[in-house]
Amino acid sequence: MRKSFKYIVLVLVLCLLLTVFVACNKTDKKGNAIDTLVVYNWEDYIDDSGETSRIDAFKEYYKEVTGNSINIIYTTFDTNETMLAKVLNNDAQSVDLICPSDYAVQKLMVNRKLANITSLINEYNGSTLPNGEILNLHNLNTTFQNTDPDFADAINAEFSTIKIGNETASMENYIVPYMMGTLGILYNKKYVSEEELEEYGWGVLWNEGNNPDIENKILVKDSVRDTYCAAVMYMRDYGLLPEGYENMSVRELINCTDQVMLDAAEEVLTNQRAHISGYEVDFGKDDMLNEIVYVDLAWSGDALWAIEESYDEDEDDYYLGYYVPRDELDRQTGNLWFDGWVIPETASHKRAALMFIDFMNDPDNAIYNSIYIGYTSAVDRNRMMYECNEAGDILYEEGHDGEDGYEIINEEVYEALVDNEYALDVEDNDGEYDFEYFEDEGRYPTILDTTQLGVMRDFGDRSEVAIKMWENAKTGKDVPWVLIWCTIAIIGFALILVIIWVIKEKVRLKPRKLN
Amino acid sequence: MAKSLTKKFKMTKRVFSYPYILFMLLFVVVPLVMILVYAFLDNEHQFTLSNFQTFFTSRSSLYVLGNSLFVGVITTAICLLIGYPAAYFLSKSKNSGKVMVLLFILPMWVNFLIRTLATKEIFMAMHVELGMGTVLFGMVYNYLPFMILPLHTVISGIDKSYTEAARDLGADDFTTFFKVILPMSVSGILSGITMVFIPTISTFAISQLLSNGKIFLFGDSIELKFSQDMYGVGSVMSLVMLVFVLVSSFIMNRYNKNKNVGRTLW
Repeated sequence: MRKSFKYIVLVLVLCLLLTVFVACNKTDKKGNAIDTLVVYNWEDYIDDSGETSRIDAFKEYYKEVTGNSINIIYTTFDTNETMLAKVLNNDAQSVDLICPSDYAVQKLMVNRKLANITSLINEYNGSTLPNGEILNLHNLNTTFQNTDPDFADAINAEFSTIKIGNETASMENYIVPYMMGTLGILYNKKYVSEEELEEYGWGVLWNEGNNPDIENKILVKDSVRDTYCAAVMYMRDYGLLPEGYENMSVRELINCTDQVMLDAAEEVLTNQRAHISGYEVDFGKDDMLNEIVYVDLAWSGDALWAIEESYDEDEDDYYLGYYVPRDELDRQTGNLWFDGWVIPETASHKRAALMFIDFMNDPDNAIYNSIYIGYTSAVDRNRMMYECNEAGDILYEEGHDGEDGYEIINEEVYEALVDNEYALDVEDNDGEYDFEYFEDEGRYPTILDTTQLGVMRDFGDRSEVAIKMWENAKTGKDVPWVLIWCTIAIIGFALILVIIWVIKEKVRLKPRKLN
Repeated sequence: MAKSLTKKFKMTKRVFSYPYILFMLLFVVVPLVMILVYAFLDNEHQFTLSNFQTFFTSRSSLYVLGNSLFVGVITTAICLLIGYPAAYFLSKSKNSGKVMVLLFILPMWVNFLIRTLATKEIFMAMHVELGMGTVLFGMVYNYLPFMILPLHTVISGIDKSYTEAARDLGADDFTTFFKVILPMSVSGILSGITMVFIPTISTFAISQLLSNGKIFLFGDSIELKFSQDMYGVGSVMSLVMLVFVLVSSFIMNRYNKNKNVGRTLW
């Protein structure tokens, strides 16, 4: 009996080993090598389904260029913190490509987890591929080659000198921007007027206009960075900044974590509690669409997605709108955020990773992705409008059905753009394309001045203090007297019961006196 | 060598407990030790006591802890108020009682997150403002079965002859209940209280969902600490939590001594 048991175990172990060996065999049926690429991205952050799937398209492209097949292991994270915890604890050694947000990139850089993409480009661009061809990274001679120039300036304004130990490095060499946007106010047009937004700006989140419709119908983000930014902007607009900070620019302010500023922010955020419905992480868009709340502090990408969903057929209009408050010179103000591709130092498939970034930076693919997920691609929109002949020409020739010598890909882009209600608004025929899609200021913020619309740094070692501030604000200051009295009453009642019982036991145990 | 090992290895009863011991070690003891270790480490993995300082000097932490205790006490009291009569009548009735017990347990088979989200939707549809009231409702709704079940087991385990004897000696319903049933079900009450009170002070999702994050309880605070990479402070808070668990189960056990009537879940 024991012996047969041993044999069974042996057979099982052999089976296991065999499967492992089979899995390790890295050639396909024709004998071509199969490469691997491990991507670690946000959930729902790439066009990954149906005919337009960019993942599948990349596989084909990779096969075409290198002759090898590629196996993409695609994993996702839901917050930067989850991702950071994994990468910083060295639990993501096999990952080749990550797509973190601005401050997370900074944190990864400071912890020396990232490879220098600029030198990787220099190393691999023009190198020989397994099939003898020369690798040409069309869209990636430099990391920012393809990025919207204003936007690249905004990144460089804050992140060009990041201290890593004793050295300084520029984020420009470590990241290829993928998506970007602003922080602003998603509002319901039926209850919030544009005049109100223009007049009260960030104060709408505090219901400064005393609009009875939106009182307690406001949601803010349950994240210290975004609420802090909103609080700082509100204080700036309403003259609540502490002394000595009044003349700082927006970018300096949102990156300032001095104690006085945090205290002031705590104050205004605590006061905000009286006007808001609550803090949301991910249900804000849905609650806005279901008209449970009417104002939400939102990222432009989420806002655009929600607006698109909010089309009302009876009214032939969208009932949601997005507004980025403006300063006295009518410039959009606040936080400019971005997510971008980075390659970890430990990545073992750097060439494939570079090719993936290069592919996603292609204007056509950028359009696919940004239409699919609804966010704003960081790829230069001028390239998307003009160089990307497919999307551009199709937009221009309204009603094009893909028969005039265009490839199928054009038709798909066309359909994608038609389905997306923003498309096909060719206003002037002066030879220049004029697309509502690209001119929506909610989608493409006008970055006139990177000091007014700035990127936000990592709080660094101030983050614990900032979180403490945020916790204090979330806890609020009002003492729950009802709760306290109820508790005291219950405990008092229980105590009385216990005392009565104890006395009774004592009395019972006393020997009865016999007369 | 191998032979001697196999010789020593005997299929005794104890062998069957090894998987359980291993499981306990891996999933109960090791995590607890890790919490204990993390409580004394800073971000650079150096020994420090600053996590304790951070926790005990922060207004909001203590405030949140107090708040959670209040909510816990009130939830437990409400559960007991609703649960005791329910359990009593359930164990009194014959066949319909079984169906009713099933009905009480049925929601427990649905994941509590789904249940809570559904509750939230109902409140939304009824235009009830989310706040402390809804959070308390959610807590009671979620933990009521934990109160009813031990009470039901204990009360239905009481030998019928006790009540019959009480009747024979001339006691009315009222006296029978207070002199016989209630004293004999104290162990059920105590285990019910422990089963409800301890989880309520550490819940996080219910309060977050049913108040849109406006009511911030101890569990939420711990969750925030861990998600913001502040493992040290989070561990200290978990230890505080653990102290409460130990203290309350100690108190319960003390009062529960010499009262081995019926069966309890604890």
